[in-house]
Amino acid sequence: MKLSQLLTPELIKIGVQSSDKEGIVEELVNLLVKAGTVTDAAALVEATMERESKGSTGLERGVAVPHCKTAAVKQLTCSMAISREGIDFNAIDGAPSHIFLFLAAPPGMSGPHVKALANIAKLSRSEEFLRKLREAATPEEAFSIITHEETRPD
Amino acid sequence: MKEILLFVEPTEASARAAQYAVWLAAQTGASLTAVYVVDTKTLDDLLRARIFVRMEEMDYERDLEEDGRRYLNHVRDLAEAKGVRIATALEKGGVHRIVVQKAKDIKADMVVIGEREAKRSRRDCYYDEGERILCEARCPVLVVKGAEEIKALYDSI
Repeated sequence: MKLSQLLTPELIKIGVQSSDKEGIVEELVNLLVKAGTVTDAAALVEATMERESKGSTGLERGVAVPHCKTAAVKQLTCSMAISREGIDFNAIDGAPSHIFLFLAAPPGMSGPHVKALANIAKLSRSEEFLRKLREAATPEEAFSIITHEETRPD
Repeated sequence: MKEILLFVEPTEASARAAQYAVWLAAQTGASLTAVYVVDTKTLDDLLRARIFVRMEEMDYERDLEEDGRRYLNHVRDLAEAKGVRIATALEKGGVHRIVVQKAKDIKADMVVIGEREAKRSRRDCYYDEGERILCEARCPVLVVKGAEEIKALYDSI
């Protein structure tokens, strides 16, 4: 499951207002609320924070992948936020997180959920891709960078 | 042809491949084995990448096992509805490696897989389990294409 199949520019936010983990998660959830794919925003934030309490999804290279399995969404759904300054997300390398990729899926969609997470893990290995994404000026540019990365022939 | 191995995936294309495999087994009298692999290699990768925690990995593994049983039951129903004997196997591990090994173990004359999605990059090909089976299997691999034609064949039994 490709990110470019799950995201649209409307589900991407450049620049964030929050400076803490829960605030970022709320901003990511709000993108989904606007898209109409969330049935219970408060429950989605709660499920995500509960998952974070078991271990931070702040990875290396400035990427964080908050995610959860919850009935608060109707389908596998994704949103993204980018922070130039970076935010403390308790990443494993201790560095600030810049790219936040949020995934939520209802029970019964574990197969596609796992594939989407695996795809994010693969994309996150490319320093060049992550650098371009961090520097994206607009949601449209960020979406274009993702689409290009996922479809380049080599 | 004595042994056919069907690679079961959670896709429409795989469901059509199952119909074709049942038809093929009925025509040839071959034994049919359906295999579904819980992709624990990817779950392990997600754990190593710290995207998953251990409890979460176990939870998703259980989900995928349930999915696998459901898909295998569906394939069994398809076969038994046409009087074709079928064995099913729910395995765990790296998907293409397990399927290739299973084909060797049962001395499959052919592996049947569903049509692959259009690929837009070499990376897509590399990570597609069906493509890897095509490359690595030591017996013929049949990729089932078409929809209406396959259903008609299945219905004709």
